[in-house]
Formats: sequence, structure tokens, C-alpha cells
Amino acid sequence: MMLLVTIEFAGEKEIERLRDQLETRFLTKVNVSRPGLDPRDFLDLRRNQYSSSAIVEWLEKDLSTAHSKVLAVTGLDLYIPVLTFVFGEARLNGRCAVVSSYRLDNKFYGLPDNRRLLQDRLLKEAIHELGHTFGLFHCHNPQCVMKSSTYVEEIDFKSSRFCGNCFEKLMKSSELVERR
Amino acid sequence: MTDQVSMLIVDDEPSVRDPLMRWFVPEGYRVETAANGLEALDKLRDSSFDVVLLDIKMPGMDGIELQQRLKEIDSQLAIIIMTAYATVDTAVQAMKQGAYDYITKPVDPSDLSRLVRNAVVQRRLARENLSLKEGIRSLMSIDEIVGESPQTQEILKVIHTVAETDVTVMIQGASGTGKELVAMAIHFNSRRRYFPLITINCGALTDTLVESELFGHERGAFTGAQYRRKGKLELADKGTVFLDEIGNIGPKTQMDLLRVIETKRFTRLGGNQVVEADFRIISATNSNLEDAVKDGAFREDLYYRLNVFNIQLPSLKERASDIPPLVNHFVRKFAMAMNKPFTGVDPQTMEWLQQQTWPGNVRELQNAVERAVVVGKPPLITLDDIPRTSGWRTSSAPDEIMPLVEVEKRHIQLALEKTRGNVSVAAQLLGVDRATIYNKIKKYCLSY
Repeated sequence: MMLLVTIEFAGEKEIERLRDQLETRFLTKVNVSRPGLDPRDFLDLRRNQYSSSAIVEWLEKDLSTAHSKVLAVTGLDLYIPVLTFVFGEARLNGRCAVVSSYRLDNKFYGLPDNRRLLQDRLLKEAIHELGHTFGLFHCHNPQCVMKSSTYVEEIDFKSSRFCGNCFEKLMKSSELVERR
Repeated sequence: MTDQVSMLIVDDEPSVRDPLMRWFVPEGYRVETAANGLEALDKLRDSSFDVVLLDIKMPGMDGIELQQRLKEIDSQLAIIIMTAYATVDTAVQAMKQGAYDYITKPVDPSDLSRLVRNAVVQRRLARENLSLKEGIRSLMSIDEIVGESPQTQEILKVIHTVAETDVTVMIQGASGTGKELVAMAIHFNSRRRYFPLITINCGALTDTLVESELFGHERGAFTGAQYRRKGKLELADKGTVFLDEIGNIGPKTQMDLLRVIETKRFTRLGGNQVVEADFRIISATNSNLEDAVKDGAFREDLYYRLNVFNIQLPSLKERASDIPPLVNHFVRKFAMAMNKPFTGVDPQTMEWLQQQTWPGNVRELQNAVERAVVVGKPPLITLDDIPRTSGWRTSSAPDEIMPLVEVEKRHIQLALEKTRGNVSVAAQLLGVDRATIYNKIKKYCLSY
């Protein structure tokens, strides 16, 4: 069972739709939680960005272990210290991950609003980060959802599906095997 | 990249080290971290890394000093300096000390990703280059020239001396004395060793073919020239050209070669475009070129151009004390190649081998040992293993029926003796072409 946790994320419809999509892709029940926590705990005032690592640490410590995977979805701009931003962060072979819609939204780039595109990007990055929690590394296949993306254009180019190799590794992952 | 990239992240702040490590691990990198300079040095002593991400501002040993120390351990290490406080001075200092690059935090993820990938590629290429160079060095060292006699030791000294220069060398010696081996030794000990060594056997080719081999040809230069072809001189650019049997080239080729040696410029057959190439020439002959010059068969000016440095190789008979080390070397070589556990030659056989005259010189000795390893039973080569069909010290009664191979060998040797080693005339008498005679000489280790 998976848990979607929203942190300062306004899109109700987007979350519901994401939940449905993840249930289909990972063949598991996905619950949604809206804990209403104060994001200032993760804020770097100098950068005016939020630490993805701090969010993941909070997810790991503060949430119950009823769910095998926990994905936080946020509208906040995420960072790690050396980089200008990150789209998300996950614990490789871990339980928790976070993904941000901030830089997936066309509005950030001064482009016309496109909700469908945002949903598509959010789905891909959500699956990508969850893929890491199942032990998947970045993939060189440009179409695979596990391909590393540092620009939104790269996210748009790849599909939301795992390539054959990554899918096989995902299937071998213990959690999914047990579920089957 | 087929093998795993290894990375070391050095930063005193765990809030920097750990997220960065977690960012790179999904790339499939093996990532380790160090909180300070001493820890980083310990890690590098225990393990090797492709790339180091190094913070410049750290308590104790700073990034600049650490970079220097890391390079002392591994000069090929790709170091990327990270700093939040960019100054021109530190950037210049870091780059001068060999940093791969210098980034100011925070950096765009795509930039860092690309930087690390390129650093790793460069590191891998540098290591591959070093490894290839080592491979070339090991392929051909002077150890291939075996012998303890004063003559061999002198030749080794001469090779070392002449290899360091770029002079043209002429190697003279009877067939099978190792002229090609000496040419290879000179090339692979010279500054040209990482560039091609191109061999042209002038004896086995007709005049036109030699020209085409040397200079190449354009499409349509002659019948059958369907494509443009680069000549050996062009292919040898920055390397060495070895002209074997130089005494056999015709007058026109001699003239062209002289011009090329002087100008290092030529045109391909049938072409107008001037080609430039920088190469060293080593030539070899088993004939007396001075006589050929006196007779007008070989150009005097070309002779002196090719013969700036002369190396005379003695016959095997003249350095008989080299026979035991040569035999042992060949036994080891062929035993390993054939996976047969030979340890050497029995004393009686070695004594017998030393007494032979070996008209085919080292090549003949090598062939005899090779055949002995094929037929012999380990651990020692015995006299029974030395092939009887070698024929140098068996005499047969006039009406004895010999194997056809032996008949051919003796007849060709006779023709060469009668023509005083003139391969062209011998070929004419025997009704075959020159190339055939050269092939038979090699096959039967004949002298001429």
C-alpha cells in the first residue's frame, strides 16, 4: 500500500488523478493524506527554497509504517545545497520520496498554463522517484521513466513507462513480488 | 560507461555531503564521502576514484592544499572544486594545480551532471591512453633481441643510441640475421614509438607496385585502381618506414624516394595533390649495396641518404655463443604458445646445435626449434626432435630418392649460389617470378 502526502499542494483534482494513475501503475492501493504541516521547518530563508532532504527525513521519521511507500507531493520549490533546484528526491531502496510540481508548471517558465502537461510531468516524476525507492537506478534509455531529467523538456521527451530492463528489475523487487 | 564510476565527495558539512551523495548514487556511481582532508587522503589510499568533488573552504587542510596532495597520490584524478565564494585567485590556483573544473555553488543540476560525466570520460581516456602506451612498450622491448655475445651487446648499445635520434639507418646482414627485429627495436625505443611502423618488402614487389605501395595512388591511376589509396609513406606519418630489401628497388623508384627523403613531400600515383608526411626511414639489405652503387645499379646519392647510420648484423656463425640463449628463448616462446611444458634442450642436443653453421641464421634456428617443440615430448628437446629435412648437414648419394620439398629447397639454394645471390637472375633461370623466390627463401631459410 502506498501513501500520497500533500505538502502545500493546491491541486485537489491533480492529486486524485495522480492517485488513480499510481494505483494502476503499481497495482496497489494508494491512500492520500493531507497533514497540513508547517513547511517553514524545511525552508532556507536565504535561498527561499525548501530542503527536499529535510522533507524526506520528516516522512521517514514522522509517519507510521503502515504504508510500504510514501510519496510527498508539494508545490514548493525544492533544493539540495549544491544544486540550484531538484525536481524531487528519493531514498534508493528506501520507503520515502518527495516530488515538486513547482518547476514542472509552465507558469514557472512564463509559458501559458497547461494543466494536462503538468499532470503528465507530475506523474512521470512521481513514478521516477518511486522507482528509486524500489531500487531502480537512472536509466540510459531516453524513453524510460527512469531516465534522469534536469530539464522539463527531458521529462516531456521520456514516457511514463519503465523500459523492459527497469520493469524486470521492478518486478524482481521484493515488495512487488510479495504482493503478487 | 561500462564499469562503475567512483566518486569521492569531500565537504565538511554533512548537509552538503549526504544529499549530494544521494543525488549521484541513482546514477549508478559508487559514492563515498569524506568530511575533511585527512579522511579524503585515507580514502584515496584505500581505494581509487574517478572523480572528486572537493569543497574549497574546509577547516584544517583547505581544498587547494588537499587537491595538491590528492594529485600526488593519483595524478590522473579528475578534481572538481566547489565553492560558494568564487574568487579569481582561487579559481586560477585550482586550475593551475590541475583541477578539472571549478564550480560555484549552487550549480545547475544539468551543468553538474554534464561536468562530472565529461570529467569521468576524460579520466577514462587518460587511463586508457596510458595503458595503451604501456601495452605498446611491452609488445616490443629490446628483450626480443637475445644474446650474450659481444657483438649482440654492441648492437643493443647501438640501437639505444640511434633510437634517440631521427637519423636514417641502414641495417645490413645476411638473410635471417634479424634485420627486421632491429628495425622494430629502433622504432619502439624512439620518440616515434606511439606512431605507426610501416614495413615495405621491396624485394617481393615489382617496380610499379613498390611505387604504389610507397606513394599510394589516385582512382584510375592504373588498371584496377578503383579507389584512392594512401601509400605507406603517408600511413607512416609521425612514425617509421622500414624498407626491407632496399637494394631491389628500380631506378625510377630510387629517384622518387630520394626526392621524398629530402622534401618529405610527394604525390600519389596519378595525382597532383601534394602530400606531406613526417617519417623516419630505416632500410635493410642483405646485398652489398656499395657494389651496386659502383655498378650503377643503385644511386650513390640515395645510398648516402639512407646510410647515415649503418648497422652490420653478424651471421649466427659469427656469434655462436648466442645459440644457447637463443635456443632457450625460442623453446620458452613456442612452449608457451603451444602449451607444452618444455623446460629446455638436453645438453647433447645443445652442443650439436652450437656446432652447426646455420646458413639461414637466426630464422633457421627459430624454425628448427619451433618444429622440435611441435613434435617433441616435454620436458626436453632432444636430437630426434630436430627435423631431418633441414638438410644442411646431410649428404645424399646421387641416386638417393629425396622428398620433393628437399629437392626444391636444394635446387633453389643452388640457383642462388650460382647467381651469387642475385634473386632476379635466379628467378629468371628457374622460370618463376621474384616474389616466388623470396617466399621460398623465407620458407626454407635459405641464404643468398
